[in-house]
Amino acid sequence: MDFILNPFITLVTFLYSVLGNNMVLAIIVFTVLVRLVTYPLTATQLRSSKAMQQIQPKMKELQEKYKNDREKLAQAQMELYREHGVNPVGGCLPLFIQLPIFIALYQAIIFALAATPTQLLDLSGRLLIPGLDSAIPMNNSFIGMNLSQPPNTSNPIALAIIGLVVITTYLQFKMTSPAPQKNADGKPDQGAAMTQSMGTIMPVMYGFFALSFSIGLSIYFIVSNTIGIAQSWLMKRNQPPATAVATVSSTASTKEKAARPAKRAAKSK
Amino acid sequence: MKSRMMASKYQVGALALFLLMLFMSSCVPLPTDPRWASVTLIDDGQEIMFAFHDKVALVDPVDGSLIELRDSEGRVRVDSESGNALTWQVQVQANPATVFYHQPIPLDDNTMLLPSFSRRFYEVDVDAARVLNPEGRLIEADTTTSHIVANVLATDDTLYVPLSEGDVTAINRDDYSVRWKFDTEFGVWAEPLLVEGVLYVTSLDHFLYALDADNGDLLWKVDLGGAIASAPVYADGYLYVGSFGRKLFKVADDGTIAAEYEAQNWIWGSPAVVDGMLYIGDSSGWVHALDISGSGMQMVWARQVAERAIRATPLITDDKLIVASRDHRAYWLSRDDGTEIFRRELVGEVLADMVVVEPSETVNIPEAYVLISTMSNEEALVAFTLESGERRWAYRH
Repeated sequence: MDFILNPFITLVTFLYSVLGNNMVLAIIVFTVLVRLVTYPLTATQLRSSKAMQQIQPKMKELQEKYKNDREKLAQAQMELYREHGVNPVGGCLPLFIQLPIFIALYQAIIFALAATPTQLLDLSGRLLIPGLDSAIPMNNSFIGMNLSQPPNTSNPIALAIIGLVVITTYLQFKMTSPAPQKNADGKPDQGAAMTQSMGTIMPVMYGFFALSFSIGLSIYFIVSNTIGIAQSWLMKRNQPPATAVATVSSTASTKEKAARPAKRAAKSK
Repeated sequence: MKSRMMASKYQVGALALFLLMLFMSSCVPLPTDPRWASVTLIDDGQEIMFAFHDKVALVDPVDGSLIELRDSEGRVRVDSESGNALTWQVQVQANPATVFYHQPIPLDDNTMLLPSFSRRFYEVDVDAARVLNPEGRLIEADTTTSHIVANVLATDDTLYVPLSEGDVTAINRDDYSVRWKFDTEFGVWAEPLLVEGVLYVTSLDHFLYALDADNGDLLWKVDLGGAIASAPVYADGYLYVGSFGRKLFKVADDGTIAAEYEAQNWIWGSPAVVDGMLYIGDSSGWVHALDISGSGMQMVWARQVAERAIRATPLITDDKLIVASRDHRAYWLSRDDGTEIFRRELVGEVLADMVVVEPSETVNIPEAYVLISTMSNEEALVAFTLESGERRWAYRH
């Protein structure tokens, strides 16, 4: 992990020293830079997720058609993927590539904000640019708070930061997760129900992280989530208008849309 | 059937989330002790006071066992329920746990002062191993997150307390009232040094300060180009102090830099000085031997000894130099050229300064021991013979 971690620690220290010894600015710029560099991976992941969402109605039809023959179902699914140019692991692979990067990113922040002698000792030897040692220790105060410490819950600003972590995590999840679908019987699709429950758990989990870890890490969460929201919004805005069939999101609306040509056909008679 | 499938999907989701959390938490450095232990010889070297984590203990230098508590007639006190002998250990029940890493300060014949990491002073009845003020006495600080991360310097009437965020505070020894405070931009992470009424304070703000010990007035300060977390050493009119700027400085007692020497990496520990020679380790595991006679500093030898940082001050014997490292090893080196004579393996990282127990007929210690403390509770303190490196005992904390 050091081969990713040490350049990241060096970068955040370098940014701190060129941005007027401002740790918050360094974290913000650092997060933006890393998110920009990993944007192609994020975009691939989002596109793949969207494509998978678009073929879901056809996938369901296949599942219904071959519900008693798993082998044929697998063949038909592969054919469907090929037909639409979808890589079934296309959404996961970029995510797995990004995961160590993001872990290293917030570990770098933890290392850089060393708060105790043993943590500070762990920082030695990790700075790859000669002369950056003079930037140590980094000023970790931010509007009356210590960025290296967990938030004090009696401080309203600290509470607001935790709130922002929860809200931005929720919004990012909403922006990147597929729209909820319903089964033919009108009940929520199993996958959609699970996604919805994840949408509740994730913000709570990140809120818990924000309470337990340093405030510097919460700043990273907020900035990273905000960039994620912006990236999803830009992708949605710039994508070409979806074809009616590909973006059908529920069986009910499929039936409705399928009925329209029949009505028009009836009128023309 | 369908609801069972739904439930299993939820379980799979919950499991995936749990694994993700586990994965993330395993990648974050585990919470470790914020500092290393302190080892202090008390009662003319007949007992070792060991402060580490949430406990302070008295250890017998003969065999590394805990000292047993005795009543006024010298009989071993036993626990009324288990019948086991009571041993000398002090803990403060608090939430979060009160932790101790610093040298104790003797207040009188039977009272010891224990500074805690959380900036509280606890008075302990040594005979009874009992804390006299369980709430502790909180030392004032500008920020609530400020800690005591280095030893407190004690004189007959004053305690000089270095604080992790900002300042050094002089407090009256009798009532703990603040006499004066001196602010530095960052924290004071090393024990101050008192020489002839001048208090020398190093700070993470890159400065070495000379203060009037009586009133805290600044006499001079000098920028050493990097954070300083080590206590200065005074010898023959000069101060020797290392910095994170990878340099060791020789500073005259008027604040002028007489000489500087470039090491391989950060210098955290204090140097050992004897007979015009200085020995220091750095955080790349190098050891440097310098001739400091006269006004300059000349390298005699320098070599990489350990794989990881050497923070502990080297120990000097007649012809050997002992250094211990974060690589879980202690090395016995030739003082002449630094070549390794032998090494000893340890369970944990070594960060704390080593201590020598002199031979004593009174307590049956036939030859000198070196006490090496590691960051592992399993082998918190290990005794080796000073000359031959023979392992005598290990204390589990």
